[in-house]
Amino acid sequence: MSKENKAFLSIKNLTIEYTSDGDVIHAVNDVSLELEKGKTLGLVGETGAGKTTIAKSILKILPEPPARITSGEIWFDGKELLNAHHDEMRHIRGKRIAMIFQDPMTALNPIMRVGKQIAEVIELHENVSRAKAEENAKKMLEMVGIPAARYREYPHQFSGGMKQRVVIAIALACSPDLLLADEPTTALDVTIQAQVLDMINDLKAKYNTSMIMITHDLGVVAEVCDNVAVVYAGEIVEYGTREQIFHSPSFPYTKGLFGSLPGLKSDVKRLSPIEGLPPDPSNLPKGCAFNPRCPHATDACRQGRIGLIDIGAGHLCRCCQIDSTQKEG
Amino acid sequence: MSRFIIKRLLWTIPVMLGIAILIFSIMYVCPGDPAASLLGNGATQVELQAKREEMGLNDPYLIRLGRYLKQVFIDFDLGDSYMYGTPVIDGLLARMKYTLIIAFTCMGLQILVGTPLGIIAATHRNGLADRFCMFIALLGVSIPAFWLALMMVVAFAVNLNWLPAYGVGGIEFYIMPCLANCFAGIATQARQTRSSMLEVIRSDYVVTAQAKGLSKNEVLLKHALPNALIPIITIVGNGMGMMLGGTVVIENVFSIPGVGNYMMSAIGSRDYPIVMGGVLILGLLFSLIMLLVDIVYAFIDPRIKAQYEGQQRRKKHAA
Repeated sequence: MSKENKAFLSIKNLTIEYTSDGDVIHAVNDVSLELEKGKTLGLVGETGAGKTTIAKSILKILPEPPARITSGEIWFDGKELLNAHHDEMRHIRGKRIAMIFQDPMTALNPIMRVGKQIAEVIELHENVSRAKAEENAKKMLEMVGIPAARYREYPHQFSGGMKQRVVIAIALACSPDLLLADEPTTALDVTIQAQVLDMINDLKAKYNTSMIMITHDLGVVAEVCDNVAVVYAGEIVEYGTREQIFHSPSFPYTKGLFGSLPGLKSDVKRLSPIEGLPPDPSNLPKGCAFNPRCPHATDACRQGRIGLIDIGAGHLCRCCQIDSTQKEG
Repeated sequence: MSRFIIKRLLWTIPVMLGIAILIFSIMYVCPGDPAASLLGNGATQVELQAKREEMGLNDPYLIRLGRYLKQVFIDFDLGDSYMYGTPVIDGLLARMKYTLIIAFTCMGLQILVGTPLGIIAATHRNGLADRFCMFIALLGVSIPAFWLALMMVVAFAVNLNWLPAYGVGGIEFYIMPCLANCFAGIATQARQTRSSMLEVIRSDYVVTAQAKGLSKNEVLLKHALPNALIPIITIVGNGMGMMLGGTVVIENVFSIPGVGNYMMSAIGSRDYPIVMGGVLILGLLFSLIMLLVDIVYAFIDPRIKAQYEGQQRRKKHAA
């Protein structure tokens, strides 16, 4: 037991499937993760890789059905969440673990006053009067840079960036211990992105909040994450500290990601993308999920599951050709 | 908002005018002779001709139409019944009571029973409760009200002798008419609520509400249901309108002296003033209900309210 409790958040062998028209979609496959208090873990991967599903499973807000958690454990501060009772989860959601949702345009209730949507979560978890909750909600609005005077307005009166700030204010209203940020900047333009990231960093430092940052933007990772997990087809294919991943990306997919970024110094006419498409999650390839797109794939890659290998100082990589790829890389 | 309401109220004037012209024209081209049905089979041609002249039936279409419109919209008089000789408005108001009792009871049942059924079906999608609710709803939309009414009469009035088979009086007289009449409404309401809730339940803000730690019921009642209300209210409004005019069949089966029955017998005897007056009053009620529905929209959804107010603002800028 004590071993499980060491990390603040630890996910063990999490497997999640969706059922759609009789097809089983393998969204998350045997994912294990650990996160320490006050640290930020980046989940990087392309759309549909299963990042959001992982985050939602921590809060147990996946729509079941069609989603089904087939195996795994999620330990949060010494408590296993997947078997936790409904009522127990309700006290954790919003209070101890909060989530910033991906699309600010749809994440807010369109017919409820913006301030009320923040006050609601405060009223629910903090033992305060309605008036005090309203006052705190106004403070949260100010904190995310929205004048408190706009408390009584509705989401349609706000711009996208402001809605995202409101979503962030809702998530941070009860100063959670763990923040799940699901692409908090994707829907925003670049200048607002920087502001929002700064804000999240400040707030994190202020409350010593742990965070899982879901993104496909490597720039965001560089700015906020301590550790990085690269997710491909519902699997973690590479895991390490930010420096390990950025300085020596090892899994061919990670290399491809960095390779597809245009450099500032080199004059390139064409970007170099990763050839091919991500696999169909209802029909994953045998062996390494990346093998159809991998330039180094051999017969060994097409048979059986490949485990994560420690390639130095906790830097994990799910590649059986690691020696040959390292040489070339 | 008040400007919007006033504007909409003013709009009912041309609508009523349109209804009046339309119903008058329909009655004009309808075959049949009120003078003949008034005097009976024994009347001679001369008597008939004199009667027609007296009733103004020999005048040209436009003159009669003009006379009717002036009478309704300037003198505010629906005229007197050919048959009874009494003012149409009195006859309608006296019978309105029964129609309204049935219509409002049915509406209440539709909202109170249909909405929860739809919510239960939506939250247990594809489960046993969903199948059960939707089976009931399918029965409701498929069974004609008159057949259900007759079956109920056979069961509860003839065989069991629990309830009176026809007429009006205490509450017991309204039980069967209301139940028979509201079944289809409940079914429509349940189906609309279900589909509307299903759409809303999967939306992102409901997930946000869940992630806040609200209980299942709080998420449903505070976040999902209010957002699902717009189509539900529309059904309620339409249902109310249908109910007002559509109790005819039920009133006939149970011999209830309501507006529907009054108008049906008036059509039979070519009593034009009653038919036209009845249609006008029901039309007026219907447009007022639709206005009420539009106002309720604005209170439910601030975006619709902004839209109403925006129309006025644009007008002001243009002026």
